[in-house]
Amino acid sequence: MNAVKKEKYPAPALPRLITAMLIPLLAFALQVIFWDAVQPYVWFFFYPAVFFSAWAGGFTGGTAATLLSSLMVWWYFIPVRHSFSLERPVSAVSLAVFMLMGLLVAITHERLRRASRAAATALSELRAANEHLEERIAGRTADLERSMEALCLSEEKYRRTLDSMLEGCQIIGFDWRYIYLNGAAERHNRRPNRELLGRRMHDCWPGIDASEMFALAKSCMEERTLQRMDNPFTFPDGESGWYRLIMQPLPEGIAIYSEDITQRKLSEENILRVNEELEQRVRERTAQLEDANKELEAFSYSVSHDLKAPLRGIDGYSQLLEKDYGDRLNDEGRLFIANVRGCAAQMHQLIEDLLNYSRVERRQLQSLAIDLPALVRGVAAERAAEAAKGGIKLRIELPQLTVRADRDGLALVLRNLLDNAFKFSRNSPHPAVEVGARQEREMVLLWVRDNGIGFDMKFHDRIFDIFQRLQRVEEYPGTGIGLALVRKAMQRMGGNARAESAPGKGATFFLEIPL
Amino acid sequence: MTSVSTEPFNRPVLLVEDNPIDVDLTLRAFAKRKFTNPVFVARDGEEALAWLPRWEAGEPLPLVILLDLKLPRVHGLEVLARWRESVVCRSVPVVVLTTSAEDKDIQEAYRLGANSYILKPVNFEKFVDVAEQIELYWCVTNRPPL
Repeated sequence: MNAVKKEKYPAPALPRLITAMLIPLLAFALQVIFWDAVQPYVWFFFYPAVFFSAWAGGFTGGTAATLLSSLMVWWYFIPVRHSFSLERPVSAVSLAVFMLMGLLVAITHERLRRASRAAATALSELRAANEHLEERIAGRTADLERSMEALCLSEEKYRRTLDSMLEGCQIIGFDWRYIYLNGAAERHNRRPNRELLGRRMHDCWPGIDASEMFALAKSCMEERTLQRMDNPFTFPDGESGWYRLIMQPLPEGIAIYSEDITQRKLSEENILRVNEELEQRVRERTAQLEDANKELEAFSYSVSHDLKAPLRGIDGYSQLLEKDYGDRLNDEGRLFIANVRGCAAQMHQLIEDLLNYSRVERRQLQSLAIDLPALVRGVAAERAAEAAKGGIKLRIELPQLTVRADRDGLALVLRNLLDNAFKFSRNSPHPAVEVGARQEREMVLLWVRDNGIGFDMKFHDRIFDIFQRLQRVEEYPGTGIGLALVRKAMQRMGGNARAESAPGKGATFFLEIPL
Repeated sequence: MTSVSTEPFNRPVLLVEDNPIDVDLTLRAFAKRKFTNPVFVARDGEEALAWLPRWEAGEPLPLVILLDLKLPRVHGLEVLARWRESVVCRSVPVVVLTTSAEDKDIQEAYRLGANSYILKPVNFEKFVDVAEQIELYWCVTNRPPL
């Protein structure tokens, strides 16, 4: 309750209260002095006094001054004077009215003071709020300024980056006017940027509407899609270059980035040209080789045809001579005829071997999966009569193996190896030839072993050279082509042939056949 | 003449061969086997082709033609191709008798319509055997179109 009361009428400061109490005393003094002039108006000075006291001392001051004034007037001025007794009853009314007035004035002043205080508080609050607001505005402004500065810096940075980057950058507005061009763009355009800036593309480059580059720029502008192209460009001075263009939609239109790829294109073209020249040379060389091959073929063909025909004549007429006129010849004459026929047969064999050799060299070989034991047995069967004639024991022991080779080529090789083995083991006491094979890592190793005369290992490579013979022809007839043909054929089939031997210990020929 | 031409036994054989020794040996080989059909000889590709208009004019078609490949002027394969284009000669049996054992020649000859491809042996006994086999098969066993 006290707190509320205190709140309702707060005590004014002491000096104000004292002032409020002094004013009625002043009024009393004045009224005593001017009593003759103001009588009978006992409250003449006291109405203003109470007013001023209330003004100075508020409710408390006003009320206290009213009470003091009432007591002083009652005692001093209201008849009966110098006493608290009342001569006329109406004086009581006058007293009551004064007191009521005083109270009202005190209350009114108190209200005024409070209103004034509230107004002052509100004002000061308002001022504080205002100050706060202004502080914040200042802060914001500073922030903004900083941001602006940063933005400027960053824009400057980007602009500098754009200005100085190696790729040309051109920004073109929706109205096809140049908005921005960097230094590289100036170099690429070979025109000062100031000639272009603000002008429309079509006006700067007459006829550009018809170009492929413009069509792409248009679709970039309208469809808002990224476009790329390598653009060949001819400058007004007639020089030409290549530019790789990337067109990118931007909020303000499009950007065209250009990269000078003239050097790259030139080296590419150079590489292509060199390549083309190389291919041309390869083609020419191939054609020359094909021609040479054709000539060789024609040569073999002629050898085959033209050399055999006279041989057939020699053999045929020798035989006719022997048959039809043999009775007129003596033994020596018949021997001569036999020798002529033997020579013809040898010549024929030489031609056949040479033809086989050249055929192995130039024939297109096929690479087929071949059942090795079946092929070996087939070739052995062809040669069975030959083996039997020489009393040779032929033993074939092969595991089931499949190799990749040319069937005819491999058959030819096996035939030659068997013939070779038969020939050189024929004179042994118990001639025997053995064929075996096993699979090694990436190939099949096949061997043909005989127990014939063998050879010195210092000749192990020479025996595969064409026309190389280690034995005299009358002892071991042959053309010196068979083993050369074996090695050539094996190499052409992706394999190899080699031999191991020692004099008198027989020989073993190895074939390495791809799987 | 017409009645004779329809008799297989008397129809001629055409030998196309440029080498006189081969011609002589072939004729001798046939003679050894008592071969009685007439044998006509064409000595080069042009002579061989010259038979075509005669056959088209009605001369009796040969029972069999023995054709060498390496011929002067026109190659044997070319001769074969031209014969096979002719309606009259299309069905006459042609036996290629040559020394060439080249795969290419063999394949091309059959592709062009040769009926047989035989290698001429160098050895005379074998040559006589071959002549006999040709005669026996193509002139006796085989039934040619009329």
